[in-house]
Amino acid sequence: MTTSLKQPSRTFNTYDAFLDDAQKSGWSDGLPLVPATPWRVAECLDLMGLEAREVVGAVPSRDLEVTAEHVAINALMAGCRPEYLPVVLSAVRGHLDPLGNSHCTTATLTGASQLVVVNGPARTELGIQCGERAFGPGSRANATIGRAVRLVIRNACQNIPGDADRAAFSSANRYSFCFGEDEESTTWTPLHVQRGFAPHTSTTTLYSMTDMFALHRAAPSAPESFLDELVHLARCRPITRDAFLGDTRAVLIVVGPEHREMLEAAGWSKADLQAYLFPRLAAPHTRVSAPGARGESADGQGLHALGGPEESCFELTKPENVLIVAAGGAGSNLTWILYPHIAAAVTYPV
Amino acid sequence: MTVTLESPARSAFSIDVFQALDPSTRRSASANQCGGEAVGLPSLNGKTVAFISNGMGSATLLHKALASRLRDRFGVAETFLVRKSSVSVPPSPDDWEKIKDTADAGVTLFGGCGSCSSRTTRDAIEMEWAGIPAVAIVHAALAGSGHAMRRMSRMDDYPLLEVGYPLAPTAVWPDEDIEATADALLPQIVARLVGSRVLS
Repeated sequence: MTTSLKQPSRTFNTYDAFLDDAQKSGWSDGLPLVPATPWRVAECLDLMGLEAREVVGAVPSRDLEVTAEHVAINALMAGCRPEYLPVVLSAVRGHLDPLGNSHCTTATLTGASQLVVVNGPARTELGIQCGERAFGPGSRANATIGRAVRLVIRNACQNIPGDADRAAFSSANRYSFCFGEDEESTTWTPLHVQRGFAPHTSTTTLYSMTDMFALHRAAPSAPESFLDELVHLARCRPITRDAFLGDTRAVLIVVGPEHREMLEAAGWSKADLQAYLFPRLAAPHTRVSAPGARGESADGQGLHALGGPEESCFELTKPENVLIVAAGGAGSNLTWILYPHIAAAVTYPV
Repeated sequence: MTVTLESPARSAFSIDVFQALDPSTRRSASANQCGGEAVGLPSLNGKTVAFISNGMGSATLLHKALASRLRDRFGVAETFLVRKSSVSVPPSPDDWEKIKDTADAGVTLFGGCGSCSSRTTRDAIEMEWAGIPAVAIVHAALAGSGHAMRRMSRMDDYPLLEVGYPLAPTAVWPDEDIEATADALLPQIVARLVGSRVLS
């Protein structure tokens, strides 16, 4: 061990005793945990080349700083292999980025979850699922990386359900939500390359989201009709402008293999999709609210009547903020719209 | 079918003595900032009151109703509104400087959602730390969020003013409800800003 650990430790005689104590101490999401022994934590920190006390990020509203040691402990408790730690660290940096808006996205009534999208070589090196069952169980890497981020949020960011965490219904995605982009089965430019990273650089994109809807459409006749349906579905749910996020407000769309094949065969790139979708998603709509309905104006300067030509359904500012990701397995003809909570999609290198 | 275990199942999990590290952060940083509650004002007459609003629900309208009452009934010389850029973030550095430079007292509102109720509480606490008596208004349904924040801020007993049902936490309320709520809150707000700062 070459680094000096700062966190206190407890001694246990049995694994059951550890589990009982961890549950009683509020460390667990309800599932069993792996004990983070000092030796294993030190091994992980050495692997990452980090000192235990190195600050990874902070939650200013809660007066707390998250260190590399916190990340290592929670990742091991989540069941991560040591080699997953750099990916977890990258995702935690994204969450604790000011535009990740940690306090807002974790204390919220909505039960927003934190999705980790992995790009680059780390996906294949670690066995991160990108195709079939990308959203669900079956891969240790997907399951434990996503869980590690949530345990950091719970324990290091002090987001305990019923205390700072006020989720009304919460979400199963809060146990774990991590997948990789299926870069090998598409000609499209990977998400991280679109966001300015080299193809050989591994990245995580941390995206706090509220809920998700699927467009199921078998054998669409043409890209335009398919995309128009996607727009119609998406606009049933508004995304409002947020002055704090400014021009970083984004929405994430995960396109399954059949729809990718149809779009790619017609010569559509991700940039083409963004150029087509953006003006249609952001176009003013004509919904008229009930008489007397009113709400806060988007610029925060006062009240106005809801509805009317000034109101956009998706108040995005540029095509690049329609984030397109290739993932999922064959046979379902699905494309997913993942709605953002009040945070940017934040990409960090691994 | 009845299955009889030959030995207790938990024995299968018995292992050698081991140590496990605590994964959580401890309260520490705020201890350097915490100055406790500010001293109450002798009166509100001639004073300046800052409102920090997150724009949630009826925050803007409730601010207007309260500000006019403080001016008309308690001689407050000036009120000003700081509208935050998002529901659960601090005021901008420039706004915060203005508050510290010009405000004698503060009101933060409105704690109508999970994260904004805790941040509304925190806004009031940070004004207290700056020597400005303040009061946070939250919905009763989200009071637990404010309580979490005051604990994290080492201000466990810091009082919050609550608005309850049938007013919905995140909705814009009818005008008559806003006026009635302002009337109901006003004595409590004044009690928390002046004198011994004790709620009756």
